[in-house]
Amino acid sequence: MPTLRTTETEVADMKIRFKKKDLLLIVSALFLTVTAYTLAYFTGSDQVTNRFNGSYRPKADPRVEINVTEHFEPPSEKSDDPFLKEVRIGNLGNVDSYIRVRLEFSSSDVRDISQLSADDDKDNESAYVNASEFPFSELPEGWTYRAADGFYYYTEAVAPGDSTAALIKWVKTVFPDEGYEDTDEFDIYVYSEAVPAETASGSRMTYEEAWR
Amino acid sequence: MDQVYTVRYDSSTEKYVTVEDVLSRRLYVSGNIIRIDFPNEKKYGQIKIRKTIDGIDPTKGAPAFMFRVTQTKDENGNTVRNGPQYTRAISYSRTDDEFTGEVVLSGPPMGSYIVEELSVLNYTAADVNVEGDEHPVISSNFNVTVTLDSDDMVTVAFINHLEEDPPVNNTAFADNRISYADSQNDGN
Repeated sequence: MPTLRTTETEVADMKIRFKKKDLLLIVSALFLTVTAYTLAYFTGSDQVTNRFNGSYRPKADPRVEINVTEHFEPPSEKSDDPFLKEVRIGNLGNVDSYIRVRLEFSSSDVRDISQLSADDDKDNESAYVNASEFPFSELPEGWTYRAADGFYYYTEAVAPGDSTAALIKWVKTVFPDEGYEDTDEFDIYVYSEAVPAETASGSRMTYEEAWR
Repeated sequence: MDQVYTVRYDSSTEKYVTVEDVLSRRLYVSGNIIRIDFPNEKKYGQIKIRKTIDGIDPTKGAPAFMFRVTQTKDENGNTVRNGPQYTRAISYSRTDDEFTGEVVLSGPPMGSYIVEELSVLNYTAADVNVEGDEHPVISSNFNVTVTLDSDDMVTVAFINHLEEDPPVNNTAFADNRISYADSQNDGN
């Protein structure tokens, strides 16, 4: 009965193999479960992280409101001395906002003899730039100029209650001896616009996207 | 362009007096008439800019509009490069119920000028009209060329529509005037 013995041995071997298979299946199932749980755990963590890093719940009633801060001490007589004309835009609304500014002299004749500075020190001569070249000069941090539309853009979103950095602080108008005798006044206009820094769904935009 | 002026020498004051200051009859009676050529003074014109809007949304801030006026030709029709440029503004308050504002640019030399309205949020340029210049060149609803050939006023009237339901935004405006008039008057 060699054949029968062989068959019994094979059955016994199969039982052992089945036990090994079961064990392998169980281990595999456990491994898969742990892996899936771990993946799910990390996936969930990412979503939480994203929520903290860049996605905010949009305001139910977003209100954008700005004002031009008025730090202005006009000179009473023609003088080469600088006078204070600080241009900042404040965010009075309830959402982060992007802000842009148009800054214009009423006359190119006066603009061309005027210099602007954003330095804290009004006597820092090296900080003054001719007003006609100011848009293309090294602007204060956060500001950039687009010649296409003539706006100065503040590239950082301004939080409620906060304000932009000063675009300019000092103006110096140097009248030549001749040619400006009839100039008895001029204006500096500051026009500003603001839009929300986030989409309606709450995604943060860059300033370029916000003004597109 | 030069012009001939007639003046009279006033011996009491030892000054020349132009014909605008004395009667011509007296000039001839005196028999002491002197003709002198003076270069003519440069003539200047006036441009009035009128803005009409059809509403104000107070949630968008107080509306303000800026206009750039750039000389392109002189009084003889010659092209002017880097000519004088002027900016003017018309602003409203949030509660204004008068929707038309005006500003006058006095003193630009004779010649041709582009009068351009700078873009703003919440309003679209709807129409533009010109009075006082028979041949204006209207390029668009926010860009027009006018010619000043006398001191008569030329009026450029821009009309804007308040956009319906524009995106959330806000505007602000400040006009800082530097005036030396008081100090100059004090000195006189």
